[in-house]
Parts: sequence; structure tokens; C-alpha cells
Amino acid sequence: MDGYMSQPEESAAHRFFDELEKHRFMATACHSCGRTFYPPRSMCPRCLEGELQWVELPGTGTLYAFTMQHQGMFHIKPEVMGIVELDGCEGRALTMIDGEFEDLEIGMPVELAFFESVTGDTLHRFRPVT
Amino acid sequence: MKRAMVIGVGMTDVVERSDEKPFDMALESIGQALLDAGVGTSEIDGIATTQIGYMVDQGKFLVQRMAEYLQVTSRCMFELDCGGASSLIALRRLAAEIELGRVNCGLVYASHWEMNTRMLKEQHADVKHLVRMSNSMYGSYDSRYGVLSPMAYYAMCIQRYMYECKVRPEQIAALPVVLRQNAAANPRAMYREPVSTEDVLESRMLAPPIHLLESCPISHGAAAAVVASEEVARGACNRPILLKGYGESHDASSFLPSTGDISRFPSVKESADEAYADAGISAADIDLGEVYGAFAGTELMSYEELGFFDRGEAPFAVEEGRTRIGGDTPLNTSGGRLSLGHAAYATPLFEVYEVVKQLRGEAGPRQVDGASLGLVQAEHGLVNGSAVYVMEAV
Repeated sequence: MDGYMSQPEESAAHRFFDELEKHRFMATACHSCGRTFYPPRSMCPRCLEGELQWVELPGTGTLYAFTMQHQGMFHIKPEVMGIVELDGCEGRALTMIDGEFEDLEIGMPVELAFFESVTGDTLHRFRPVT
Repeated sequence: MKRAMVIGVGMTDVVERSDEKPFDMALESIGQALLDAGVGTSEIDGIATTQIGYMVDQGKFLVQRMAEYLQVTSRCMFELDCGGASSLIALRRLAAEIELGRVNCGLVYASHWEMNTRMLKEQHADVKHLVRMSNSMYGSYDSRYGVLSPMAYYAMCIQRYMYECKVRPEQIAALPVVLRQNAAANPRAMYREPVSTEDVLESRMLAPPIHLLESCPISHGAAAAVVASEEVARGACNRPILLKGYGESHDASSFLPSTGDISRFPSVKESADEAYADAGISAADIDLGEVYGAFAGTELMSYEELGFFDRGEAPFAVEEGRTRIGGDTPLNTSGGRLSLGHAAYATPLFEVYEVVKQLRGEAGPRQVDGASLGLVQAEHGLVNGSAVYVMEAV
């Protein structure tokens, strides 16, 4: 994973992608203010708490917006991209959507799936709940 | 406090790809701006620039090398980076030094030279290199999903706007038609052939709902402006343009915000409200404006955040011709980013160039009759931050 990271990125991102390899989709929780947020952080931006707890998210959510990328770098044409509002935390994920663009609707329930990208890494994607 | 005025502007043609080097493009625009102002390099005592592109190796000490080349001795020198808003914010920082009385005559320039997605893919055959490039722009969590430009983000902003405000695709497509009509009268513009609403809707879908003709191009170009104190401005060749009011606002986000509504641009509203208050005016007093608008949909959204139209009303205003030259609210008379072209770091100074020409009455066939108050707005990221200048012919 190290090969992907540019220097300024935080260690939480390394751990997040390592957890994805084990099919665990994680967020971080602050025991001080009680918030759970995605994407994971190393420090709570509100109370500056540095000891955050890693928690596994339920992997369900709502499709907030979606589009298709014709010039994505993975050469999967077309790549359906979406933003998912995640259950169980504050925040939302940019992700790929495993579904036909024409079948998607704003607000539809979606669930987590995993896939192996062309680089051999495990990434998250979401698909409509059937 | 002293007053700062723009006394000279210059810009290159905006082109798809320049054979010239960024440094030479910068020199061309600087030469024009100094001649326009009627000042020599010996009178410049403040100099500022921006980076050159987002995806290029640009080197260091850009402004120091330019000062050496032009033999400028100064009391203020900086390179400022705040994404697409950089050159407008750099103008502000120079103007602030003038208002404080430290600097008398400042030069700000920006030269933009960028790689497009095809060039990036050619240069970085290994996907891992591409992810690393993307990483430095969009962060670790998004870059792995193949984000090579902010196009997908913008597409989803526009999708939400259309969904929430019930905007029809043909309404979005009406804007590029107006911008082409404006660009037809601008010799600097990249695209000057007329297009119809049908042409826009039939153009290739880049990332739904964005069609090719609803997207800015990635352009090359350079621009410069000379900003001076009132004392220096009195000796200028042309009518000085007062920097009358300024506002700047940044959300706590970079590209995709993790919470909040992506169909609103709070920083645009905040920066505009501050600039209007600073100038002692309201949005209705503005005679013409240059709005950053990199995509047709988000340009309409910015028209609303700037206070020119109510939420959801900009598409109707454009359809009714209100934003055309001759309408009650002429916007992007240059052709805007979609037709003038978009060379991000230079773009805010292209906007300043247009508004200065308009306020001097030198815009030729694009001239807005009786224009005395103009607005320039620039933004960065996914409209995560915005800067607004109100300018006045004095």
C-alpha cells in the first residue's frame, strides 16, 4: 500500500486500506464527543482527541448522487461513481457503484461490497439493495 | 487608508495548447499590462505570481526568477497558491500592501500550462503513478477511485442541483449558447463558433449530466495586471479602475465535503456579501460580472449564490436572455470559462481583464452600455472557497 501514498497523507488512511484488505469497512469514533466519522482520522477535529477508536461500519447507506466517468484511470468503461451517505457515522463515501447507471436513483438504499481493483488492491463499492 | 486601482491589464490568447513556454506567455502578458498602464519595470515595487499548473512539474522560485529577468527591485514579493482563486487573491494581497502604503505599484501575473487526462495517461503508464498524482490533489480516500479531474464531483453537484431545484437539461444547455454568442465578439476566446441548445444536448456526455459543450476546456494562457496607488494612477495612460470592495470565504472542505449540501456554494455567497458590504452596494447595482463557472450547471448555481437571482431561478433568467449583453444582468461577456477557455491559474486575471476593458468602455462589440460597476469572482477546488472583487470606473 505504501506505494500509493503521497507524503502528506495521514496514517489513518493507511490503516483504512489495510482493513479493507480484510473486508472490514471502518470509521473512527471519538469517546470524548461521542461522534463517529468517515473517513477515518487520527485526531478528532472538534475535541482534538488523539486516541480514537476504530469501529466497523454496518455497510449500508443511501445513494446521495451518482455519475459515470469515461476517462477514469482504471479503464473500466464506463465507471459508475457515486456518493453514499453512510449509516452509523457522520460523513459519506466517494465510491464505485456496482449497478447500471440507468437503474440508479437518488435516495435508493445501497449496501457494501468489495472488489479487487486492477492494481490488485481491495476497494469498497456499493450496490443497490435488492 | 489609501485606495488601490488597476491601471494596466494584459493577456495572451487563450488556446488549447501553446507551443510557447509558460515563462514566455507570462512575459507577453506582462509586457502588455505595463504598456497599457504606461509604467516601466523600474516603477514596479511589488510582484506576485501563482503556480503554473496542477499536474506539472513547475519548479521553484518562479517570481524571483521573473523579478531578476525584468530587473524589478521590490518591497513585496510572493508566490501564492490557493487553487483556481490564486491570482485574484494575489491581486488582493498586493492591493492590501498598496492600501497600507507600503507598495506604490504592483505587478501580478499568472501563466497556466496544464496536462490533460490523455497526456497524464501517456506520461504515467503505470496506474500507481497516476494514483499518486491524484492523491496529491484529491486525497487518499478518493484518488483510488480513479479521480483524475474534478469532473465527477462537479457532475454530482449539478445532478443534486437539478434534482433539488427541478432544473431541466435544456435549461442548463441554454447557458453555453449565450457564452458562445459573447465569445464570438472576443478575439482572445478559444471557441467562437455559434452553438445551439440542440448542439449542446447532442454533444458527448462526459460525466452525466455534463455534456462536452457544458464543460470548460483545459487551456493554456497567461494574464497580468498592474495595480497602483491613487498617486501613481493619476499618471496612468488609461482610466484607472478602483478596487472598491473585496470579500473572501473558504469552507472547511477540500473537494468533496464530508457533510453538508453539495448543491450549495456557501463560500460564494459569503464572499459576495462581504464584497458588496465593503463596496457599499448590493448585487442589483452590479452592471456586469465575470463568474468563474467551470461547468454550465455550477456557473448557474454561482449566479444564484452571488445574489443575482433567487435559488433555482438562474436557468430561467438565462433562458429569458437576462444575462446576455443587453440584458439586465450581463454575465461572462468574455465568453466565460466555457468559450473564452479556462487556464485555471490565469483565469481570475482574464476575468479582471474583461471587467477592466468593460469599465473603461473598451470592450468593442461586447461593450455593456454605461457599465460603471463590475464584479469578478474566482473559486478553488469544488467551489470550496471563493473570492469576489467589486470594481468601479472612477
